[in-house]
Amino acid sequence: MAAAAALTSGIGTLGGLGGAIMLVPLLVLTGTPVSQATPLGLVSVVAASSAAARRHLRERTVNHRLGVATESSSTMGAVVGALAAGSISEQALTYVLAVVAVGAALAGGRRKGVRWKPDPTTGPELVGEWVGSLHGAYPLDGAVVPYRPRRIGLGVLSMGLSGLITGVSGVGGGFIKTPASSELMHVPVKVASSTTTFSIGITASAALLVKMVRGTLDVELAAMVLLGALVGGTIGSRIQARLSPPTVRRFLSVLLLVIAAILVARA
Amino acid sequence: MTAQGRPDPTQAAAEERIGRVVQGVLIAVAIAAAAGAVMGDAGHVLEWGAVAAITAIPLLRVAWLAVRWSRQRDWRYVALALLLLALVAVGPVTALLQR
Repeated sequence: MAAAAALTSGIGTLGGLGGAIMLVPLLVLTGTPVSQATPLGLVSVVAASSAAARRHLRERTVNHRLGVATESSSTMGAVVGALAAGSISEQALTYVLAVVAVGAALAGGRRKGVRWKPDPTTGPELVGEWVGSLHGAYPLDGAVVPYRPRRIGLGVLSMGLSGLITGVSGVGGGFIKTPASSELMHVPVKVASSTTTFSIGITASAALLVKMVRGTLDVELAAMVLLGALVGGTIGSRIQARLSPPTVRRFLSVLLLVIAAILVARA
Repeated sequence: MTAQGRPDPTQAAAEERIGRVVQGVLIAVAIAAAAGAVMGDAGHVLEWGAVAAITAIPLLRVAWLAVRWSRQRDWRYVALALLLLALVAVGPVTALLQR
């Protein structure tokens, strides 16, 4: 259990997707009931998100304003989705998710080079998120890369959609959020990945609180998953810090294709 | 008041500080979870404590951001952070009322 959580959390943190989308099917395949596996997936997301925090904060790649702004939209979508859960076919929705994952994988995988390049006129004092806006700058190989997210409305809408999907199907929205930030809003992939890792921790916390109140969490198994996810999240964030943005993007594309296959298998 | 369109000059130090706090809590959580697993039934309290602490971390981080942004008078994002915390509270409160 701990090893599976470490592996899936490590991979999930590397791509900014969260590990639950891989851990939950793995647990179900090995005989854990779905009702038990889903809260354990949430534990793995919260633990990996927190484990990656120190590294991401030190790297200055988390844009908290972007995370909070998009997360508010996602959470609202999740509430609406949870209320509408019975009226939408879960199987049809899962196929739609698989198509979205393949589309995001192709969009990220086909793109060459990087959008935001190091700017010699931007000093290290501008590294971080900027007050009053979603703009910011992050350090890359000793240089500073400024970025300005675009199509904010479309981005927030897609985050709301990812929340809606989470609410309806229970599938984590990280695999939509990171590509939406990177490909729709033009946020650098490292910032998108770190910011999504932060924001999916909030969503998972909220859902986990509900499971705890309802008493559907097996705390013994949760402790094992927690230990594994802490190790996986720490290792995943360390590896991600060493990779170049195009490598992270290619890795993300491959991971999205794997997730699309998992979704089709689930459907 | 921090200039708009630039990072807050204390941001790096504050993030380093919160990063250290989170890491300290995670070490305590890992020890509690491991001890709870070893102790069997007697360790349930430790396991519950570990899960509760890990669940609280992301939410406390948002509350911390709201406080920091209020010091920077970045009211739009303070409002968004508070809205997010309120939305998050809806789920467990509803579950409590349904018990």
